[in-house]
Amino acid sequence: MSRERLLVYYDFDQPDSFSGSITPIPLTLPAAGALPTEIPLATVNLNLVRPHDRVRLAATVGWRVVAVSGPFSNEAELEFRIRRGGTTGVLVSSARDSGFPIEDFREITTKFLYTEGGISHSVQYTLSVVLVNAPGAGPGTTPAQIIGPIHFEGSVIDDNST
Amino acid sequence: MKRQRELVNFNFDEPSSQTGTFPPISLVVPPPGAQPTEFELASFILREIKPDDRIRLTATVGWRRSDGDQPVLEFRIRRGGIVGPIVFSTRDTGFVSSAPSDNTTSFDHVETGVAHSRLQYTLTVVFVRIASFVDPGTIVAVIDGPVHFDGEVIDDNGRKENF
Repeated sequence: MSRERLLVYYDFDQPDSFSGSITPIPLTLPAAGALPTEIPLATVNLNLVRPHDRVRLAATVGWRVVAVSGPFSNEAELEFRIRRGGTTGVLVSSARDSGFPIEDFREITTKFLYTEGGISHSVQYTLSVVLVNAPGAGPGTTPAQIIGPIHFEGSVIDDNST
Repeated sequence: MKRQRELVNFNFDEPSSQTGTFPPISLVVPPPGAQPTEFELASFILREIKPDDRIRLTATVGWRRSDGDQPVLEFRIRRGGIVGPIVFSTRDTGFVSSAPSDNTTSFDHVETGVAHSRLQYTLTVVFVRIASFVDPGTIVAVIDGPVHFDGEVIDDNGRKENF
């Protein structure tokens, strides 16, 4: 068996490279009984994909918890999602991270990875975020913000042997 | 369009691969009006980069909160040495706990349009702020490993070789 070079396609979307350099994207707690809004952050398009390839997706997002009514007032739990096929496509990966502010800020970097196979031709993936929980914060408040960086990438990795 | 081999160059610097094995770097609260010190953690050089290449940079840093409420750290990637332009930054926060509070911060970044025969990238860390007052000189966080920093040069999609 001969060795071969495996990375055959790569795409990335990087709306922001620095902490705090974008206008913060607010994550607002919905009214009781309503679903929180899922906010798309970045999209990658991968081409020339074959079924035996491994598609590896990686995301890095900087965000912060906001104390909506003073120190120790609330937590914030975010769910980061990867969907295949647009913003309403199939949910293929999700990862949660949470923070708790003592004062008025807590800045956090979340990174996660996901890999799948069985994909053919061209495929689009969307990275999104949703506020899933914020104990101590009331409806209409904004207990978390996306502040950057935002990085999303996809690598197409060939079968190990041909 | 033919598929091609994309990963054309790789380098890394990994001064520490386990928690507690990095020569500890202590981040202290600076005196009023003074800038905190930025410390170099790792550095490497990539060569023969073409204009359409994507340079993918990845870092993992282990650290612990030492003292004070919620110290915020900023991790930076600079092109060149520690005085080169900042091309990436992200922040993470240590949480107050009675037990040791250990953290792992990991992130990715991509650079494009920086054709060069030789490019150095440097990973650094700097203290940003703390939630409540502590005396200047107080050690609020310690970088204690692991420290991993790597760079991949990824060619433009879909040219050249048929395989």
